[in-house]
Amino acid sequence: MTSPAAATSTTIAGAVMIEAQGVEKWYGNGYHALRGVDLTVHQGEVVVIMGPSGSGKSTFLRTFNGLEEFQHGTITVDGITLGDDLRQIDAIRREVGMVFQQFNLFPHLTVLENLTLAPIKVRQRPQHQVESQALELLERVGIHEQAHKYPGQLSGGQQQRVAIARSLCMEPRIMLFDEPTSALDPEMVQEVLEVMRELAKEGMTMVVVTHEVKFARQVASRVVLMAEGRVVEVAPPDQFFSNPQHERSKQFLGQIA
Amino acid sequence: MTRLPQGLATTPLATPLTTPWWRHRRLLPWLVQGAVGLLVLVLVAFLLGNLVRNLTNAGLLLTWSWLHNPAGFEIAETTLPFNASMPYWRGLLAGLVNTLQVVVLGLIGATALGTATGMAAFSSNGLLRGLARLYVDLIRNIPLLLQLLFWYFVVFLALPNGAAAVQLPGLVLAKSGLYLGQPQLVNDVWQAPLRMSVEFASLLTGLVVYTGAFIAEVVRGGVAAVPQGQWEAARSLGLGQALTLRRIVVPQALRVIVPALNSQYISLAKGSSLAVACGYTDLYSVAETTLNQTGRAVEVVLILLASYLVIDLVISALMNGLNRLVQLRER
Repeated sequence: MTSPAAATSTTIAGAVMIEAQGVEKWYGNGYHALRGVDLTVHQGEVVVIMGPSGSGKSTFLRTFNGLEEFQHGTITVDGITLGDDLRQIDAIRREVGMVFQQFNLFPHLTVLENLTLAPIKVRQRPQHQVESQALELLERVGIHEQAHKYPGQLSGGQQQRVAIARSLCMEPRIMLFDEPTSALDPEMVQEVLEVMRELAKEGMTMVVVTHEVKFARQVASRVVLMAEGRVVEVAPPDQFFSNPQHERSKQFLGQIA
Repeated sequence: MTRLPQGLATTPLATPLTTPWWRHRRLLPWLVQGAVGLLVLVLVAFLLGNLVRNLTNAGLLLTWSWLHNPAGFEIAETTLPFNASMPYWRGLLAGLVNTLQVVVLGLIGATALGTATGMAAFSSNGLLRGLARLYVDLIRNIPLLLQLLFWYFVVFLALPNGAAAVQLPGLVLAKSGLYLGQPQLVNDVWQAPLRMSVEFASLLTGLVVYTGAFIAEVVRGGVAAVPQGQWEAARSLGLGQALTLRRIVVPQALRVIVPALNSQYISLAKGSSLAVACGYTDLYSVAETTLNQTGRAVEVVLILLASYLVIDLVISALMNGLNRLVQLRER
C-alpha cells in the first residue's frame, strides 16, 4: 500500500470486504493488463477507481466477481478466496452485485421479472415475497410505474436504475459499478448518480469505476488512480483532487479538468 | 414531382393527372404490377396449352385410372402393409409412409445432434470445440449423395452377421439390420423388439449426420448472436450455467435459430429422396418403378411434386407456428 492510504487507515472502521493482493493478468494475446494490483476495501466504504482508458480499471473491477480471470495474486471477497472452484465463484457472485456500462438488462423479461428471476431461482425465495421487495426497490429508484414494461421501452437512465435495483434485489453485501453513467445521455447521468449516492448513504460497500469527478469528490471514501495496469495513488478525495502526490495523478487530473 | 396536392398519397386518384404516368409516384407501381401479372398469365397459358396439345397428340392426356391397377412389384420393407397384388396408389402411399418415417426420425436426430454440436462450440473444453469444428467443416463440404453411399456400402453393409456382429448395450449392429431393445441371438439370427434395416439405418444416419452439421452452425450462430453482456449479467447475478442458458440465452437465441432451422428441415425432407442411393424404398423410388411400368410420366411426376410440396409446406407451417411462439415480446 502506498503511504497516503496508510495515512487514512485509522479512519476506516469496518471489516475487510475485498482484499486484492498482487493481482496480475495477461490477455490471450500477451497483453499485460494488470501488473500487480493491491487494494483493500472495507465495509461501508465507497472506493472510486479512476484512470485513463486502458489503465486496467474495469478489468480489475471485473476480477472481483470472477468475470475476468487473473493469473497471479489473490483476491478475497467477503471472506471467500477466489479460486477455480465454481461453487465458490457462484457464492461470491450471490453476494456481489454488478452494474454495467451497457445496463445488460434481459430484454425479453419485464422490469419486474428482471429483478425477481435471480432471487427466486438462485436464492430460492418465495415469489410473492421477492415481488413485493422488487416493487419496493423500484419505488426507491423511482420507476415503480414501469414494473410491467420491457427494458426496451425505458430510457437509458431508467434502464440503469432498473439494473441497480436488479442487483439490489439479490441483497448483495458489495456493489460493483463499471462506468455506470458512461453510456448515458448527459441529462440522465444525475438520476443514476443520485441513486448511487443514496445507496452509499445507506452504508453499502461500493467499488465504482467512473469518470464523474463530482461524484468522487462528494461520495468516495477513497479515490484510486490506476494507470498502465498499476495502482498509482490511493487517497481520500480531498487530498487526491487538491493535492495529488504522484506525477501521473497530476497529469491525469490536468487532462480531465 | 410538381405540385401534387397534399394528402394525395393516401386518397384515390381523383384529380386529373398533372404528372406524366411514367414518373408518377403512385400510378407507376400499379402499371408495373399489372404488366408483370399479364406476363405471368400469358406464360402460364402458353405452357399449359403446349402441354395439353402435346399430350393429346401423343394420346397421353392425364388419366388416373391406372392408379387402381395391380402394381405387380414388391417393396422390400414397408410400414404400411403392401404386396404385388395391391394397386399402384397403395404402393405410392406405402412409399410416402416410408419417406415420412425417415423424415420425422431424421428431423429429431438432426436437431439433437446439431444442437449438441452447436453448443459444443462454446465449451471451455478445447478438444470438444475442435471436434465440433472438424465435424461441421468435414460434413458440410461433402455431397449428401456421397455420404449416403459411404454409410451404406462402407459402414453398414460391411457389418458382420451373427455372433460377430457389433454388440453394444441394448443395441446390436449387424449386416442383417440394427436390433434395438434386448437383442438375442437365436439360431445365429438376431432377434429384438425393434429392428431397422441397414438401408433405412444408412439413410437415417446420412441425413442426421449431414443436416446435423448445418443445424450446428445455425445453433452456434443463434447463441453467438446473444450479446456477451447477457451472459455476464446473468453470471454476476449468480445464475448458474444451466439457468443462464435456459432462461436468458436460449430464449433470445431461438429467435435467430428457428427461421434458419426451417430451411434445414425442408432440406432434410427433400434430401430423403436420395434414399435410392442406399437401397431404401421411399416415395421417390416407388414412383420411379411405377413410372417405368406404366409410362404415366406426367402423372407420376405431378404426384411426386405435390407430395414433397405438401411435406415441406407442412414443415414450414409448423416452424412458422414455432417461430411465432419464440418471437419474444420486448415491448
